[in-house]
Amino acid sequence: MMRPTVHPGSWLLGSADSSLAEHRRRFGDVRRLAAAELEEAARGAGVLGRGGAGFPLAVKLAAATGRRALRRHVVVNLSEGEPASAKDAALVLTSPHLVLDGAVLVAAALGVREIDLVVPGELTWVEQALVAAIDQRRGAGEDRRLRWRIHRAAPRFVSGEASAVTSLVAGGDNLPSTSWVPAAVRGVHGRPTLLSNAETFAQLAALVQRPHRVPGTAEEPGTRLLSITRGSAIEVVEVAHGTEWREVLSPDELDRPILLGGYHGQWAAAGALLDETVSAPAMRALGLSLGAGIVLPLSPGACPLTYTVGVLRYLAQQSAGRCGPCVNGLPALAEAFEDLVGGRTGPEVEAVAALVRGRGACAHPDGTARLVASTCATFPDEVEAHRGGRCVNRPRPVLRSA
Amino acid sequence: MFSSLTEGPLLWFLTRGTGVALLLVLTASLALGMLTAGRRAGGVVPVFVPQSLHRNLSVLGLGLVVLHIATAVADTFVDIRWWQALSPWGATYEPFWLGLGTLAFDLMVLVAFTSAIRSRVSATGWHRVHLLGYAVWPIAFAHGAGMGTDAPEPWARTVGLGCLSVVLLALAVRVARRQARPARTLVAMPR
Amino acid sequence: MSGHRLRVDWPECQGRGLCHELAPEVIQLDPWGYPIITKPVEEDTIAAARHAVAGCPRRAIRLEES
Repeated sequence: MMRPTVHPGSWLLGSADSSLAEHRRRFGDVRRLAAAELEEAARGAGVLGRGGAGFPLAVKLAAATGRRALRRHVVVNLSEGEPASAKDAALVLTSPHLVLDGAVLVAAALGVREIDLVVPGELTWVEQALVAAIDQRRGAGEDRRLRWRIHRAAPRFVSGEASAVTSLVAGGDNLPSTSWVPAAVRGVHGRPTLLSNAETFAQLAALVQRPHRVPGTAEEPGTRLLSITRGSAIEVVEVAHGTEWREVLSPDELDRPILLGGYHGQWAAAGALLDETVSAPAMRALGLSLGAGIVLPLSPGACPLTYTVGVLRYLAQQSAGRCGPCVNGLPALAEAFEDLVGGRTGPEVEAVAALVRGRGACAHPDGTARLVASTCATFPDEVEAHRGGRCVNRPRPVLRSA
Repeated sequence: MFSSLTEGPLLWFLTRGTGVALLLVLTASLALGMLTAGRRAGGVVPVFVPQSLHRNLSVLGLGLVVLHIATAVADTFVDIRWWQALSPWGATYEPFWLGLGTLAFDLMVLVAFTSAIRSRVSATGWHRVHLLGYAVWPIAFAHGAGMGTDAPEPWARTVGLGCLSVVLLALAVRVARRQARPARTLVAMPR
Repeated sequence: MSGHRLRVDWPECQGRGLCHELAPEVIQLDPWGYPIITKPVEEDTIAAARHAVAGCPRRAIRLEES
């Protein structure tokens, strides 16, 4: 992945200077909060996980401290996980200390001395930038009683799944496995593990360190980092909650279908976001989700069904290969959808989707089924046309070949 | 009364009888175990049938071997002490063949124990120990052939040969099935 | 309602199908041989469900309180 274009933002990405000195000038020293205080801060601000699931951070913190344990773990996931996401890298390049401060805050509250950082294995510049930031802190005498451990994630789509991450941190392979209880209860080596996305830690740190003049709305304080694919590049933009989509995307982009939330996300039909804001409840009302902030406007004139075929092929190939319904079902789902798009008869797409939903150790099959369902529901005219061997986006009929 | 029990031939007959019964039970258990391994549903006989028989016969075998050892120890005609069931040190009566029997018993207990706590051990760990079950049969067979009172009898040889044939046949089926397994490209990769 | 449900450990499951043989009322098999839990476990099916859990050669299915 090329380095993303990072647009300056109002808060997390607020300064072009990523040094420790500048960071301390803007946010001050790391405060020490007890677990209950930190939980209250996260609850009051309604901090949601930024890794895709949007899970309330306060609940995770409570679960991680709820059980008596000799040791706990704090894991920061900076591995991005999706090809269309670049916000974790953006944070590392512009505001690494905000992420690290967030981790220190949680570690102090949980009594953790060793913090685990998961970086994308194939992007050495991310790891280098992170190491440079850690060295700056050591040089300034900070984090004296802390140890930072860096783990390299495999370049797979499923590498960012919670169980895959805890497995990697525990010294195993970076693949998902069945977790009977959440990682916050039993994660790395069976210990309570607070695992969250890098941006979540950054949002938490910014909220705690500089609680005044927080951008966003009263109901949704804070901002979102969005990774917008434009052409062959990814632009990372920081957007305060409540900002209109009109201010984020161009009129032309808003006029096209937009895949929101990445490859496991859902489609916003052309024009659906015109009068909407970047807000979790607002998106939920539309049946959408911000996910990990990945925004994929469809290329001009492209067919959303053909695009989805490509995504499904990729997702099927990215199966960890551990669970029967996934390793068998995703290729079958991709094939069934391809048949539909090609105007061929084949198994009912929804029937195959029902076979993979909820039948795997991780959410990879669920997310893939969600994409298929969203595609069929958002573009009924295109589906109808393709069944008849035509495509509304292109004048020529679709060729009936494999 | 007790002394007549231990001095008369009753215990001896029980030891021999349980020994022969064990040969049959262990043969059946091993053969059924091999016929169950790796089988998928969809055949004529449901897979849980040989699996269930294998488990039940193994438990029966455990019971028989305990009786086999108890009667041998209690029998005062030969000097076999109870601890020699677990370890052959200090045995005076046929120490080598007895040691084989001891070894077979130890392996049986180990396999049975790991199966009992199966939900608490990893699948690979359980499987590795369970494979030791393959060693139980030939060791027990040798034990019987070496020190079994009835071993030289023609009927005993016939039974022994029959059991050996059953085991070899089951082994052949098991090996053939393993090689005929379809390419696992479309099935989940094993860990 | 007995308040139990069956959960599959998918990475362990190899699609052998014994669970379906032992509890066909609550477990069907998909086209690749892997179990589909068709409904929650009730009073009348809990015995079969326990057999299915005990019969799995990979210990890949569990009965949980829901």
